[in-house]
Amino acid sequence: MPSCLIEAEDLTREYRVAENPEGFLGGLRGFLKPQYRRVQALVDASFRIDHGEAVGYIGLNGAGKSTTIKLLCGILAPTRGRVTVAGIDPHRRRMENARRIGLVVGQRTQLWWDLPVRESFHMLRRIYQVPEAVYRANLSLFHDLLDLGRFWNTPVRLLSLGQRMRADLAAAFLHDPPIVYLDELTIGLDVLAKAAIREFLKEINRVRGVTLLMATHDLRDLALTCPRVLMIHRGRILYDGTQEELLDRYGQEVQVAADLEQAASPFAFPGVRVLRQDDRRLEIAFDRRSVPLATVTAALTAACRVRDLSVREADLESIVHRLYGGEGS
Amino acid sequence: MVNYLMLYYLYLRANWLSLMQYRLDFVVKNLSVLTLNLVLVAGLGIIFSQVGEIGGWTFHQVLFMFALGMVCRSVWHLLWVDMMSIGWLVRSGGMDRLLVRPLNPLFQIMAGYLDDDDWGELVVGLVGLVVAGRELGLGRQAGQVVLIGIFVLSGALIYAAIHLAANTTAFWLVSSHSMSLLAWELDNFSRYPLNIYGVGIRFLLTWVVPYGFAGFCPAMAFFGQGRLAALGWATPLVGVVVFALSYRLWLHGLASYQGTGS
Ligand SMILES: Nc1ncnc2c1ncn2[C@@H]1O[C@H](COP(=O)(O)OP(=O)(O)OP(=O)(O)O)[C@@H](O)[C@H]1O
Ligand SMILES: [Mg+2]
Repeated sequence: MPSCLIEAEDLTREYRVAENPEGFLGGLRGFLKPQYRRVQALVDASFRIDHGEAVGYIGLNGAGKSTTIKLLCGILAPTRGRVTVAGIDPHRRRMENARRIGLVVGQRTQLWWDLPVRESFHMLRRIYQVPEAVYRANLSLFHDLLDLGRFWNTPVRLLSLGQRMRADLAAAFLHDPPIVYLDELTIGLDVLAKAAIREFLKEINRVRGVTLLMATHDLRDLALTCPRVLMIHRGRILYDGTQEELLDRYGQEVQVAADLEQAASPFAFPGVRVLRQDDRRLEIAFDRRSVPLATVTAALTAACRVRDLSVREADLESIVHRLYGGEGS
Repeated sequence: MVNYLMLYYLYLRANWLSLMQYRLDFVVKNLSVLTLNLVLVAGLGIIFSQVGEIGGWTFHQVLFMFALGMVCRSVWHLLWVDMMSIGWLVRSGGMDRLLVRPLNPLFQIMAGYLDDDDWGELVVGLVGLVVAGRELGLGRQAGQVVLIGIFVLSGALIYAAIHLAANTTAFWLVSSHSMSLLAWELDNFSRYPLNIYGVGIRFLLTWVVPYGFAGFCPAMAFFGQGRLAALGWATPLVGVVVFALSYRLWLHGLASYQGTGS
């Protein structure tokens, strides 16, 4: 068996968006002869994902992450290019593909809204024809890792967001899919819930070898779970490599902002860029490998009277910024 | 196939459990629908207290087709009315969820919901069928009962086909609501014998939006002669063909599904 599970080659997807001119007459014209604009959501994306990998898929809003996942699930057909998942075309053989995947989309549930969690699992078991023994083994694992027991008999509509996400997560793994796609699943969750979910994903990837592709724009989602990162920007894949290397190369910039007691003379220090300075506030950025943070703060407090100081670590936005050579996102 | 039947049962069970979460709501809604339908039948009685026949039909004949129509409509409504939410599924991106399951998406729509408020129409329709049937001597033989059952299923299938086609336009129109509404409103014409209408409407309701086959035509199989009676006997065939055509349209629409941006 080849170890490559997902293979995308020049994968491209355009959307047709109806463009209706304004006003009543415009609306009428739009109705009679609709005008379409093409939006390129994914352009010539090529990548391979092997069995058992956990890959983070990062990009800003509208970068094309969800579009990619929909192509991999077979929900959408590619406009151009080719994709295979476990050797089959996920769109042409959508139902066959559906048996082998799990999908979790934050804010959207797969469960039966008015029924107790337990009934949804009962249904899913039949839909995916999960053998009794597998069903039991999986449920007991999920009960341990996700604490489903606390809301097993509660109707889904009464669950808190965190509980619902845990139930949805377990539901996606119930039929032992070799691949699970996760799209923005930690949105709106508190720190504890996020931590529990990351821990679960890490565990299931390690123990069961389930391949994960996790779309997010929060780098912290990936820290523990996904050694490999694909980064997409405006439909194009900008980076494909390890997380360490990404952070090493582009993620070492820190920003420091200081609120000043009183106006100070212009701040200057070797290796430090001043982003903004006025009477009340000073903002600087620097690479922490060439200039240690402690040195900079010492210099800062020596030069100005500082009331408050905050440090911002690199996030996705600043990395995109740097990858683009400061051209902006 | 066996698997789908099994799943259909499971879906129905889940739907029923969901309904029972709102018991009081269920009872109140159905009482009001029951009343509404009784009023409609009473209206029929009032008309016949003034005139002896409508379009050559006696009171019990009209009651029979009226009730047959009700049963067809309510079977569709109770089991499959959720096809009217296709527009919403397309606009909200909810269709995604149906597409990532290893089941036919239309099956999931048709099995995924059980209506809460049309049970009253079903009850009134069934009672009407029994009352009129006794008077007309229909339903004494088991064969007739089976036949009426087949007509009911065919009629429900025709309802399904019409509403499926109307709501499938959601894949091309930003709002399929007007089409859906049109299909819903046209249904009102189909309550009475079609021969009271002009040729235009008769043609429309037989060959374009074939509600005529859910009530009028099958009743003709019992009461009519010649060509019209033959049309009535063709009801099951028409049901299957029309549904197959709508299904083709649906597949075509589904192929152009784009989802939503978020
Ligand atoms: N169904 C659609 N119709 C038209 N345009 C769409 C559709 N879905 C997505 N788009 C557009 O395609 C681009 C990529 O969207 P996509 O949802 O894939 O981004 P994303 O990376 O998932 O963003 P986010 O982080 O906000 O979820 C965006 O410009 C979006 O507006
Ligand atoms: Mg998205």
